[in-house]
Amino acid sequence: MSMWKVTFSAMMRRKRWTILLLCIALLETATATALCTLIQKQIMALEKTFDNTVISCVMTNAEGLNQDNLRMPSGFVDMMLGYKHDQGYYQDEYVKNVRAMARVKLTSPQDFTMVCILTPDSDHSLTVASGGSMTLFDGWDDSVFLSGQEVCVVPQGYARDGDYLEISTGSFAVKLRIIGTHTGQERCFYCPFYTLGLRDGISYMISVDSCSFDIKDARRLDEAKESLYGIFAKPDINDKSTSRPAYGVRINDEIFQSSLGEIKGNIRMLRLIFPVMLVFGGAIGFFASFLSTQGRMREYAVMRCLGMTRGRIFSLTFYEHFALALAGGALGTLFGIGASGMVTWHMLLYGVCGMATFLIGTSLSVSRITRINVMKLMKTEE
Amino acid sequence: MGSLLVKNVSYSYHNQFQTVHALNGVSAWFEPGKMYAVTGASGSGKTTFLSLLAGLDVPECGSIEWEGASTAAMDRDRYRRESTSVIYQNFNLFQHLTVLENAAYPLYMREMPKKEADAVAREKLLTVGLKEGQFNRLPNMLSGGEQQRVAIARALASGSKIILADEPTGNLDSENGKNIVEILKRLAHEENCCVVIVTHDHNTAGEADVVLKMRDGRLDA
Repeated sequence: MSMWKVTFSAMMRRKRWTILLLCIALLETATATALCTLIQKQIMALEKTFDNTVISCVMTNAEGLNQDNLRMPSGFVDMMLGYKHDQGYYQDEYVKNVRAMARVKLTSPQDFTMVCILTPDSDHSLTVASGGSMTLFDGWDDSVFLSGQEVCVVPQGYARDGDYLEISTGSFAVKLRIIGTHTGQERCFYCPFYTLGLRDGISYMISVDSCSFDIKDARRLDEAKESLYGIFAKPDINDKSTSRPAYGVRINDEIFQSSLGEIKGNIRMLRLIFPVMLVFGGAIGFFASFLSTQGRMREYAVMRCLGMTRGRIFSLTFYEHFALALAGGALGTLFGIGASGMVTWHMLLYGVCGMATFLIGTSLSVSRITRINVMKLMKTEE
Repeated sequence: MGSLLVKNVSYSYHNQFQTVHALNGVSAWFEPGKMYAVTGASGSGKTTFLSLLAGLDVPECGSIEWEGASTAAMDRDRYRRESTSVIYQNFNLFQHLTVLENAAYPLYMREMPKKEADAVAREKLLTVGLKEGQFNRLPNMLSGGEQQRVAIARALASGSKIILADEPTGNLDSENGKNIVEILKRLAHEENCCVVIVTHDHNTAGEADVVLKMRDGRLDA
């Protein structure tokens, strides 16, 4: 114990080298911690991008056209909604916020069109951007459009709450309760998507004019793409192949992909810098320790003369470097944490890596002193 | 009490260009209680001879025996730790340890508690004529003579029975040199140590009980 105490006292008196080595350990650990913070921040940015980016998809024909005049069987909308899970190919695992609109010409009232919608924003004319709006009477909300309830929304001033509207498509007649008004197209009624397409709990085929949706989880975009393009075509105006699907999906993920690419590139680069920094830090540790121990060769030779074993000399010198690495490492980690304002176990891990590399570098240098030839050294010194 | 026996020892230094034969068939016998002086010109092999006696290496030919055991066969670290002490011309003190810590260093190496080791070192430092007020100073705050006294105190503290001194007065003025030789002589005669001094100073050699002359790696008869 007394040997360690004395070694520590001597180290503290050897101010210049002690401070230099301490600073190197501190810098290496602080840099490692700072690098970790940057990586963590990029990962957080990546998570935010995943959570906050809406990747919208629009159904088109196979050429990428007619997105407002699709004439697509409503079965595809069922597929998106996961409605009636009995056949497979359902996409509700990958998509959300499905918007679909189907126009049905009415025979009564004459010159009116019934627009079946999944959500109020399924029809552009009802969006704020188009100057339209929809107001539902008390007790009703937008979720009603996902159902097959026999209700409808009529143009403003057409009727009042509690009134009923009798409609006929020629082959089918139904009495719908009026649940709200709209300021969209004048000669249109709106009803839930399945009001005209659902009989006895079974979805019947109606012709859908437009359909769009969002990707449910941006993290699973590739999986979602694979699933969607297993059923629909990737729109291509030049592809005239007859064997391709009749309908296509345009996935608007360009901005998402570019943000993602940028963040992932940053993370890759930072992760690449880390080992380089470690090697560099280890090398600096090695050289600083090399210079420090080089100036103490006679001291080591005297230790050997006094009968100290090579192993003991190594362990004492290693102990000095370990104490410096520990102190520098702790300060560096605290400095890194203070500068970044966050604490994660990753940062501690990176800090320990920085400290360990410094120690490896210095140990390599220290191992050299155990091989000194005391006989020659003492003779030279004389 | 054991004696140090040197039998027909040879030693060479090698490098890629040449081989220098530093010692050629040296034989000698060193008894405890006597002070020996090994004299000779520079390059005659005196320091090499002393280093081999100190167990820093083993002879290429022949043997050095301490208490009947060859240094080549024994644990030389232990031999250096427990049986020999070397005093150098340039003192070879640890510059970042205090005078007291330097003197107590061999005891720290033996894991003696610091308090106890310091007490022994304190006594040895007083024996060689240093004052209490100097104990907490660093070596570079002392004169050459005082530093050499610290080196001798370190040798004394280690309890070694073989004291080897390589030009111990080389860096000292005549007054200080004389004092150091006196201390070494006292060690041999009063403490029953075997003191071997390598020197080319005739005055120092004149104080020895036995003078051995070395020339071209050989001891003159």
